Amino acid sequence: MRERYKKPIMWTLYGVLFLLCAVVQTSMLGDVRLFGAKLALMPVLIACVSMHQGAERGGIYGLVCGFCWYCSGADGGALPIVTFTVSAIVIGWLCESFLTCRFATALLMSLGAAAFSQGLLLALKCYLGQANGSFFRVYLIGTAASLLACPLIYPAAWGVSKIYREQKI
Amino acid sequence: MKKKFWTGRVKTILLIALVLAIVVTVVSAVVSETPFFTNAVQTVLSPFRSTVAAIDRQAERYYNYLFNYERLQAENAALEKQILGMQEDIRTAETFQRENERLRLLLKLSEEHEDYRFVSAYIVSWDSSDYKSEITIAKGASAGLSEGMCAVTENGQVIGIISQVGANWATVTTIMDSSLEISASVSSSGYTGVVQGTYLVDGSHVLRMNYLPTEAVLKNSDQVVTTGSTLYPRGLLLGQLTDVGLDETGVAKYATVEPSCDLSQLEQIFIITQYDNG
Repeated sequence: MRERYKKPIMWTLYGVLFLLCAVVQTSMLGDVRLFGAKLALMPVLIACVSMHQGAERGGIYGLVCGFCWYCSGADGGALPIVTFTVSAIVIGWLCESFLTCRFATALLMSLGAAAFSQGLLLALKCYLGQANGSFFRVYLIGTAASLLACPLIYPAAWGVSKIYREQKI
Repeated sequence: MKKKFWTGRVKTILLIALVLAIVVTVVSAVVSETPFFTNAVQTVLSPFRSTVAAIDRQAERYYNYLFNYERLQAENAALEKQILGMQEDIRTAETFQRENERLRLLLKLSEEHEDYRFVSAYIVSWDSSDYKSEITIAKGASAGLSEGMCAVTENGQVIGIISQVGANWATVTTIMDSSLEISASVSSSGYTGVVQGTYLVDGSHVLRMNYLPTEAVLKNSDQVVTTGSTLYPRGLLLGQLTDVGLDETGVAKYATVEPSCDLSQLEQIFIITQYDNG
């Protein structure tokens, strides 16, 4: 395959991955609760992709995914735009600077991203009076349960990243 | 090798994210219709959601069939329909009695809903948040739907109100969502109030009927119906009273209401697009 096509193909596949996660989360898992909490696949996806793409490219991916997730009618208003972008940048920077791209790292980063984005969402809901402290248990369970998606999403993100690897000078 | 975190690009990306978040928030607040970017994304997502939801429904049917649940579900649905029909007869009789006692000659009684026009739609997605209760259906403005229309089950039980509409999709905010308030009355006594979804201290969701008069005499299993407005007809069943108490102010009463329809079992819903408001 020509080198110049690999990059657009990789990002297209990342887009397809986002579409798949968005549709599965709303259409298949939308009314499914695990011990009273719903799963959050988006932060796991953002973490797995930005691990392989770095702070800057991962940040742009997080920004675009956050905007599309907001437009798809997700809760929290425009908050996902900021939380996904920040999560992606931080995770990408950590993996570029300190950590290696392995499954254990993916689990840790997914947990951090889910905890951050869902935590801010809960804080916003409490501030608006639409939730209270009793939802903290739901938040913890939802964050932990979302890691169940990591064994599926991480290999997919890793496989897509293999299509194109920038040459590091 | 440790990389510098605050590069120019990172700052730019963060700034763009912040500006974009502020802009979309302002646009959503100012514009009364669904913003075009939301409409575009939802329109693209709608066919994918419909496909995945259809596959999911089919897979669930096969699974249930293997364990003979389908036959039991049909039997249960038939019995529920029979019970609801009998309850509607009782509500109608109580409405007649109340109106006769209060001598309201201008009230028009409606037992049969021949004036209703329905559009049926399948549910293709549910809101993925723990704090909202919304569903998305695969029909929109092209099928004649618009914001504010009421969604019901085949048995006339209220599900919610359409809050957003696109070309081929619509979002229904269900009665369990705390942002939706529906004016309602207790069918046996006529006391009016406002029904709203709320949460208990243990995090579970319930329906609550607020602003009831302090002197209201209520009993469990009293049925709660809509009072009607320009958005939805009167007499649609919301649920049954399960508990009564004084609200936080100590002045007005409130009642918890068990919803008549099980939102978790919904597959197909019906939107009332037209009715005689007379």
